[in-house]
Amino acid sequence: MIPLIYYLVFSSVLFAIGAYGVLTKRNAVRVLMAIEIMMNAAIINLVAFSVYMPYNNISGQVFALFAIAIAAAEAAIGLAIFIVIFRVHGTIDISEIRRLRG
Amino acid sequence: MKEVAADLIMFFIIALVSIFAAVMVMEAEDIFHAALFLALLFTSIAGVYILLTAEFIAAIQILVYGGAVVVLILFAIVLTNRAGKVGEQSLKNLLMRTAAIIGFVALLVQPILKTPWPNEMIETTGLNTYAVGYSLFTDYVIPFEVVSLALLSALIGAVYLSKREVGQ
Repeated sequence: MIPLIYYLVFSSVLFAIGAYGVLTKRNAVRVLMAIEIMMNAAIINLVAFSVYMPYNNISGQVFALFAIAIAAAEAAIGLAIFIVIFRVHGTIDISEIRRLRG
Repeated sequence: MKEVAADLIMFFIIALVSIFAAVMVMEAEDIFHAALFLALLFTSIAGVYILLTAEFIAAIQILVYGGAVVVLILFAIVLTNRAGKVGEQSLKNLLMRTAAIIGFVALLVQPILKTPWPNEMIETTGLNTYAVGYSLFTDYVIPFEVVSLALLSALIGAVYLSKREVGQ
């Protein structure tokens, strides 16, 4: 039997890698990939808790499904926005897009 | 006893592959390769769900993440500039960045190690999909409909965003 702690530490590592990517990468698509990695880490936690907690053990998996659906919608909207930004600015380097800075 | 060992070995293999893939998503030179490593990462996370006896989530993970999201990201990479100028990070700070990640992981793991967790997995009857479906359509039917509305509005929003520039 795998202890619950292993899953939690594993998802912590994934979350840290994703946070590192969000903070340091400049290509917007890569930042979106990092956000997806962070959401996956959170979903691993949901499923692990739902399997290990001794009560109501299916709700976590249902919420994992909801989280996956929302993440898919977020990815679609984010990539559409990046494509529009690319058409307007000619780049998706997030350190060069300063339109809202006024 | 042998099953326990097999469980652990599988978990460590999957964890190592996942972490390697996640690091390569961040550090691959070509962003196209990064997207392919993202597919590897999502697939191996589906393996984690199978180890957790959540087979339905594993199937959805492969379908939605390994299929749809990765294809979306690949299309976005092709439609934006693929040259990307991703080599902006020099390798001289690699040690410091790794130390920062390890420090953040230590910060996250600290409260996890201090908390007493239940260590026994709930015995399931092998009807995971049935249980998820039953719960989804009885207890959570309203959130289910709300999520379907959110997906529909996201679809319309994505079409609207990409179509508007063509019209102008």
